[in-house]
Amino acid sequence: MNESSSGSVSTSATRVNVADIELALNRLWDALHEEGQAEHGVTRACMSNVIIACLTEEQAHDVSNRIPRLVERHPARVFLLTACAPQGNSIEAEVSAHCRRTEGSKQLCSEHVDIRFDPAVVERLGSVLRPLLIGDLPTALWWASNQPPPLSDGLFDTLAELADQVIYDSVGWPNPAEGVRAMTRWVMGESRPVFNLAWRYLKPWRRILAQVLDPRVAPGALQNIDSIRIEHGPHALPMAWLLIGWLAARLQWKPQKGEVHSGSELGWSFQTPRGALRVHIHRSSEGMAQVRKLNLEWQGAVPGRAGFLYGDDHWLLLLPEESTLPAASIPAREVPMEMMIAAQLAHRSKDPLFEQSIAVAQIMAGVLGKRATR
Amino acid sequence: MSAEEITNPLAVGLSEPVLPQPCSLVIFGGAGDLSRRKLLPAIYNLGLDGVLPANFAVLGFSVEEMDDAGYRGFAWQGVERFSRQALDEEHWPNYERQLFFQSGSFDDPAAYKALKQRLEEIEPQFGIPGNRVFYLAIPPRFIGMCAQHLKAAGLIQDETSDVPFSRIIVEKPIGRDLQSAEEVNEILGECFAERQIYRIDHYLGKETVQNILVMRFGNAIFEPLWNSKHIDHVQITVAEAEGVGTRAGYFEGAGALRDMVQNHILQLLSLVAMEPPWCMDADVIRDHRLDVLHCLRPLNIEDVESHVVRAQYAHGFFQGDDVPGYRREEGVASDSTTESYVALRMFIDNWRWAGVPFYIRTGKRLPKRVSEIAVQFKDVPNILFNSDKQQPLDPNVLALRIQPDEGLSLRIATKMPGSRVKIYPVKMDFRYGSTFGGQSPEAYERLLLDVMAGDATLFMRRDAVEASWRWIQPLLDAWDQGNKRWLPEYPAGTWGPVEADRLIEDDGRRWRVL
Repeated sequence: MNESSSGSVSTSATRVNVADIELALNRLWDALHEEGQAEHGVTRACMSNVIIACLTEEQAHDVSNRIPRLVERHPARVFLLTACAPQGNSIEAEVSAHCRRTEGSKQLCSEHVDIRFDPAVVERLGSVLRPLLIGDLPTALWWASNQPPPLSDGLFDTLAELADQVIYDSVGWPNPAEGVRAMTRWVMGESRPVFNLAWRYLKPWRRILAQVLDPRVAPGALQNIDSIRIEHGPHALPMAWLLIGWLAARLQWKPQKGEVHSGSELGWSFQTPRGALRVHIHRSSEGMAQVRKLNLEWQGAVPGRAGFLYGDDHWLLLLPEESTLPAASIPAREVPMEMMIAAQLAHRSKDPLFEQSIAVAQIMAGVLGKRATR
Repeated sequence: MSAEEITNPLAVGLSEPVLPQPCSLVIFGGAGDLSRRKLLPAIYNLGLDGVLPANFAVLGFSVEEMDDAGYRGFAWQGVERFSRQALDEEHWPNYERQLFFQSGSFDDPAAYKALKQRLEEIEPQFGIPGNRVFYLAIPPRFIGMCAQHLKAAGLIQDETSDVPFSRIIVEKPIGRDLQSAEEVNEILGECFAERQIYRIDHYLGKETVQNILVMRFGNAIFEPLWNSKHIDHVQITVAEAEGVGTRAGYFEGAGALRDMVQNHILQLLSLVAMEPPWCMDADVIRDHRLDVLHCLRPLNIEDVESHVVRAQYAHGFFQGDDVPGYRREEGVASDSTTESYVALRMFIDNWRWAGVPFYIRTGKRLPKRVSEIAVQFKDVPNILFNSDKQQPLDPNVLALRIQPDEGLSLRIATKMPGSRVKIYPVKMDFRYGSTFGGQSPEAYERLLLDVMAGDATLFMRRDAVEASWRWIQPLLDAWDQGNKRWLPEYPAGTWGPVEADRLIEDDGRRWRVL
């Protein structure tokens, strides 16, 4: 057993035949139970089945390190699927358990099944996973690849069919415009909850915009915005896009026209209930994969402007020198990916706000034309 | 959809039920113990979690002489020692820049003028549109006076004003009997509208307490059984391991009945016993809780003897060490008749709970600190597996643990493996901490955020406070008239006096061993 600094314990992985995975998991429980006899035995807490899909060994390695902390927050039976070229069989499996010491030295464990498969046998994966899913519990698919899910040659469809909930991350997609189009089409036809982690990363932005531009703080600002400029780091265009999609959905802006000015510049024109609005998105060549800066201006009875900065210290600041509003700030701490997934797993209903936002993002993609940008 | 959501389309969908609004938080007694242990750490944690309003400031107000820097040092000590999340030195500058202190006496009108002036200096710096929350973390005797001075100094906005707004948070106890509670409420009512008053009972902010409603009304299996047909009795225990400690001055004038039963325990009881609310609106839920208080069977003076036991702890042991009896504690009169323990048998006279006893006990210097609500179901019929009268089956018990180890457990009968039918009770345990990992927000965090958002669901309304005092008052009167010079005793470190055991055993039941 390997014990981490947080007190969680992982058993060593045992290689097993695919047909014997359930049996191996049972043996694992028996072994843990015998070990715990002197204390209080072993109990299992389990909230979900979580299927994680990785398209490279590197992704799988990163995710694997995150699983103990994920199941500490959200106990689950976890299946980590990695597309690779296995040495022997076309599908190979290993099982292990993650345990946590609690009061009275009890242990609470989650099971971890590693499945490595040859991409040529994707269509067989359903038959491996289906009998292993714990009944009566929801099943979530965490798409951990940076490939937009619908563009994955059948793997996504195979796994999504088993899931009640799908989680993906559009940050880092190699071709965001194409990814947004494909994913939005897929999401709009779905009755299951689908979440984009980029939506979670935007939460501090949504919060500070909601607070600072609250009509009671900045009367008339929201209705009269006529210019927005966003600067984002590499790979964060989908976030900026989604942020605009959200503002447009909430404030009833209609995308009219989109333009790709260069490899790093995008622009849209919107029709708002009060007039026209220009949006300009600029990618900086370095920095965090984040929306780094946002400036907006409004007209109306009391014209004004506000400039926000995502600081290196992970605070979102309203910059007084670029604003007509008083200084304000909120923390935007970086949350480890596994904590975000754990939090997202708890949200099991569709998020209409997210769906409205990507619906606008889809229209924005439609008016943008074919040229993509990173 | 709430008014906030309609006026601010961007606030829709953020995780807070209602968005906390930009405001100043003025803490009366800002340099006191509650502030150091609970309030300042709670604000720190809310800031660290990113849920405080972006435009926010705290002004401590107290008689102590201190400047802003001193107050920030005071807050540092409190956060370092009592915060749920470790002190983060990177975050600290952002937290402390929002902290200010104003020295002044609660009875000095000039101090309130200075307070107003200070707020008018601070608020523009933070873009706060004059919204103010006044937290009275002060002894109850000052509540009325502070409210009146606040009003006289022009610090309170008109009740109809949503922006800027004024809200006041009042700590328990509200009064020490029905009459004084009415007086305090009357004065508060002269200065603030009821919708501006937040009477805090931190028990209601605890995760498990909020889970009572979810468990009852979010699961189909419990509610059909939640009545006198299936439930034998309910036990509510709020046990403290500590003695009276440094609170002797307050506790001597209060006792366990006022300190725990009148507020925390009656609130727990009303959550367990209330009818299903038809929506989650604050007043709907509070109306339903109030209905339970209205249905409590009144105890007349004669009933008190047979339904209530009060006692004091005597010398005993705590974790192997000698501890003094109540009357030997520092600050306690040697002939004190203040109860450190009280046990009650109560009934709720409505259709649902007819004939179901609710056994309540609370005390100091009990074996451990634990709060629990246990619902014991009726025995299965004395046939089949329960036909052996010498060894009856243990009844099912659903226990909701409020602290520590928040969670719930269900005791069920199960067959032991083997060729013979041998039945054994098994406890299925759910623990918040173990299941979900991480830390739940402290009760004060949730409640402070609710006040900033204008959500009064978890706060006590005037009518509920007075209804609970109305039920308690005959007990206090009976004790006054009894004029006893001696109370039953229990050794410190035990589960209470034998009289309390008799109270429940006379009904053929037993206290749970926790």
